[in-house]
Amino acid sequence: MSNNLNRRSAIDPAVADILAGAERKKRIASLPKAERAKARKEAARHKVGLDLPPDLHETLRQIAGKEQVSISSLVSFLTNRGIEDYKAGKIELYTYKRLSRCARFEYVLTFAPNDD
Amino acid sequence: MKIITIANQKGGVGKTTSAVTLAHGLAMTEHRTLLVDLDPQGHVAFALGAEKAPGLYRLIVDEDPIDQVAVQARENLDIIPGDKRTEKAKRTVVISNFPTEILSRILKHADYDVVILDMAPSLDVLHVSALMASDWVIIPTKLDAMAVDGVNEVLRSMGEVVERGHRLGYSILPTFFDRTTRETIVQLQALVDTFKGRVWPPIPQDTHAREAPAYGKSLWEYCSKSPAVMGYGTSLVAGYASTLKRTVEVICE
Repeated sequence: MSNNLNRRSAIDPAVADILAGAERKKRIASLPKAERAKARKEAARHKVGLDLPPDLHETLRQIAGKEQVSISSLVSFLTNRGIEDYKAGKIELYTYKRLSRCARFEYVLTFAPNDD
Repeated sequence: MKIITIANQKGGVGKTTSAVTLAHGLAMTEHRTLLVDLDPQGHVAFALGAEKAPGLYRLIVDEDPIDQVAVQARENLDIIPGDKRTEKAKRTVVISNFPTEILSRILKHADYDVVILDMAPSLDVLHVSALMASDWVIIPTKLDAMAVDGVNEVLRSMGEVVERGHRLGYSILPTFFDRTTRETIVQLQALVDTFKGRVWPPIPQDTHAREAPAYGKSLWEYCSKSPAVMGYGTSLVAGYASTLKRTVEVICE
């Protein structure tokens, strides 16, 4: 059929996310009634999926290991500090913005300030 | 210039909606885009509020140049409209010397960043000619057994084109995704099991997508925050915004 076409092996993260959600719902529905509420509560824990550059993810993993904290905890802490700095005007995002080619957003942020 | 074909021999799977939405999305992101209607129903023009016209017929039979036939539908977006005379154009293709190369020859000198070919729901000589001209194929499919079988048929045609030495990539775009229906999830899982990363995030079923053509508007104009565009739920992982992002990645490859 399509033997000569190269097939990618990795599943699109967004598709995997959808399938995982469906699988979780199916699993909860199969539990005894008494356990469903607890499982739903557990599933409703606030989880978000964000795109991170692989290098940054690795750095977070290393720091979390060194400090013996979870990556989620470390990201929450550092993000909170960043937000405080942003609110205090210590971080000006405009120097890090460049035009995005994505329809949803005007800009993307770079790690190094733009010269122009 | 990249040429992307939207194809599935099964009808009603969202080919024209996908073609129009992606073409306008690309145009809005500063890609000079040409959208070619290869379906005798002529719904590309209709969906964008333009008149049906024998655009493809003029390109193939009259051999008029693209810049004389193309109609500006939006900023950065030109269309080659179709109508019932597209069917007559197919007959010309059949009796031509190199039928499968006719679209490659016509589009070779098109001055655009991207060309989107919106196929008719059939497997004819124009279909093969479009595949031969293309760099990438997006295969929209409903998540039911018959539509998924249509994916296999397109892949068989693509296999024949690849055997002729033409390099061709593809992605599968699940449409009319209804997260509350078990069969939808089962079919999505089956697609992912078979095609892995070739499966793009699905387009939610959304009434807005049926309403927009009635107003001659693209989804970006009619309801840019609707589930069909932005996905649904808190994750916002699906929808045409996500498809557009992946299409831009294909173009930039």
